[in-house]
Amino acid sequence: MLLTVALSGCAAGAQTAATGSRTSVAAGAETTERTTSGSAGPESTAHDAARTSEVFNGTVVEVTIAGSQVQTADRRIIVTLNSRVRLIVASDISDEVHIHGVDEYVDLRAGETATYDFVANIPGTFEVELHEAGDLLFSLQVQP
Amino acid sequence: MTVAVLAHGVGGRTDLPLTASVAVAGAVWAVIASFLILSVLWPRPRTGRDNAGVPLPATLQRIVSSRPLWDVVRLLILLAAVLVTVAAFAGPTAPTDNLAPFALYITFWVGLALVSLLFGPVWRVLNPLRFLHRGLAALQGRSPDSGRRELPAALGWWPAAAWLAVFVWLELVPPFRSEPAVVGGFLLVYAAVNLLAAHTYGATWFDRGDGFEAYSTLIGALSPVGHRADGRLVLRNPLDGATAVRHEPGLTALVVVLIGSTAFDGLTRSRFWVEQIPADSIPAGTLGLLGMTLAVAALYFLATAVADRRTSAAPVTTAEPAQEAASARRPVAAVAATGLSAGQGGSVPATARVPLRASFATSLVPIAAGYVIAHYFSLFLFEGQTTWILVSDPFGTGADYLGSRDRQVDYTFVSTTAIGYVQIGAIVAGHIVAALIAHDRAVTIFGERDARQSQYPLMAAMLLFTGTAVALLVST
Repeated sequence: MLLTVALSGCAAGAQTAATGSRTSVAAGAETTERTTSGSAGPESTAHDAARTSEVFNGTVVEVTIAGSQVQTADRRIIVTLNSRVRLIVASDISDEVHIHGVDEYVDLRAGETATYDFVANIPGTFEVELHEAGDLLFSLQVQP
Repeated sequence: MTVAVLAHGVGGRTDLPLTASVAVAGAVWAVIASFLILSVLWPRPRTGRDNAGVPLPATLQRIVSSRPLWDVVRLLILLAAVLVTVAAFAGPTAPTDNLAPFALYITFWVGLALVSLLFGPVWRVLNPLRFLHRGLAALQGRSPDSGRRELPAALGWWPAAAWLAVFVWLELVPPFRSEPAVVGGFLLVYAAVNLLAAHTYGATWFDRGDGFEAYSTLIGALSPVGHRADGRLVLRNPLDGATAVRHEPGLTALVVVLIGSTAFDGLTRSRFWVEQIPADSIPAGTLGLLGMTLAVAALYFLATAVADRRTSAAPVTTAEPAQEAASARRPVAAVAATGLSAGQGGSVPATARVPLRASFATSLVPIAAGYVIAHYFSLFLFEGQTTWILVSDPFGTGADYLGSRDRQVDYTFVSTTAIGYVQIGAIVAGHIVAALIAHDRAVTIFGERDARQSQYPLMAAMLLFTGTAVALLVST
């Protein structure tokens, strides 16, 4: 019941990613490293979302899965091609998030919050869904 | 237990919304073309000539009519169908890992439309059930064409329309659509029903009764290659093929199901649907599909009823092809009410006229084909690759028969811009061909002046279909 899709970067309240802001080189480098490290579990770690989103240069999407209900503020997230996306999923069940297109998987452990960064580098509209339960978290619309 | 639900049959990708400028350009072209067709095009029928088309070289003709060659292809397709069905039950249980849903919903269903559009009614030749039926009949020592009963002519395209209604519902509505066991069960039921019907009615059952074959036949009528009346393989104007489709009962229903289901697919991709309607709700999906189909039917029936009324006082100058007149089961009420007699100038008694909704049904086929391309072209290009990846290890045993097991779907080899152009191009081209066919039908049935009278309402309906299709592409 407690969920928001928070957006950071410059576009608070809109669904569009922060465009062209290159304010934090350090944050960018960190993100790139995490993103290119592949789709295996290790980079899905618990995070303090509020703290990290301050330095994250991209779109932050928060999702809560509680009582097998998916809660997001918006079921369509629009980002620009090659922008960064940070997915923060608080879940009370263990499952796996499948991000179609970039074909990334994020491990979810019951009672934990997983954070996962990736670059939306394929244009199109892609489903982000729970791999086991099958629920749609949201559609990610990547605009060239 | 694991129910990974995937949208639109299978696949986790959908197209981007069409950009406004492309959509507006497409819509403007459709409107301009419509007015040109109404005002300046041919006043006499141009299609329906028996000798239409340019004959293709005799060598090609021989290859195409080679029975041993096709028997080998048919055998291969039968084996592929068996492989897919076995993989559905014996392969991985997760829909995204199983060959069957991708093979059925994308490679077969979308591929069938594309191949038929290019090469004609191919499934008639390739249908593995026809092949199986022939084998079973041979084992029993009887001709595949002889059944136990005569296929009632009144059935027409109705069995195909009913079957396709079930199929598009399965493809688009229930969350279990891509469960491998569901796909496998569907294929088995499909095979059993059609083999049994063919056993009862003979191989002619497949012509109009087998939903997939009827679909291929109908879309294939628009192909630039075809067999003309004398059996020669010709390169021809798609309009000639489309007007050669005889009207039989259920044709309108079949086309309406195709347009309605594709429009519904567009609706489910719209922001409105995604945001307002609970995902994978069977009642909401069923109502949506039914609603879209009924809306398409209502619009078409209304348009043709208005056209009937507007032309009811007009003398019919040219006879409909005999078989069509014969298929008319009752005269139009409006025509009967005016008590029009043949003596008023018509060469055919007005009471013998087929309702216009029957005469114009073939003109909806290109609209359906345009919708199908606009909606499923990218699915075929992208998610269709999954079939070839999964077939390398159909049973999840770790095999890699084709060496493609570890490949990823390449989503970038065709740009989203190109896909957008194909989408709008297909919709507009479908609209224009539809309007041309309707025009030719109209001048066949009426003289030039009355043809126009009959066309206004139909053109309005077509513009509405096209406008809706474009709007749905923009609102995804």
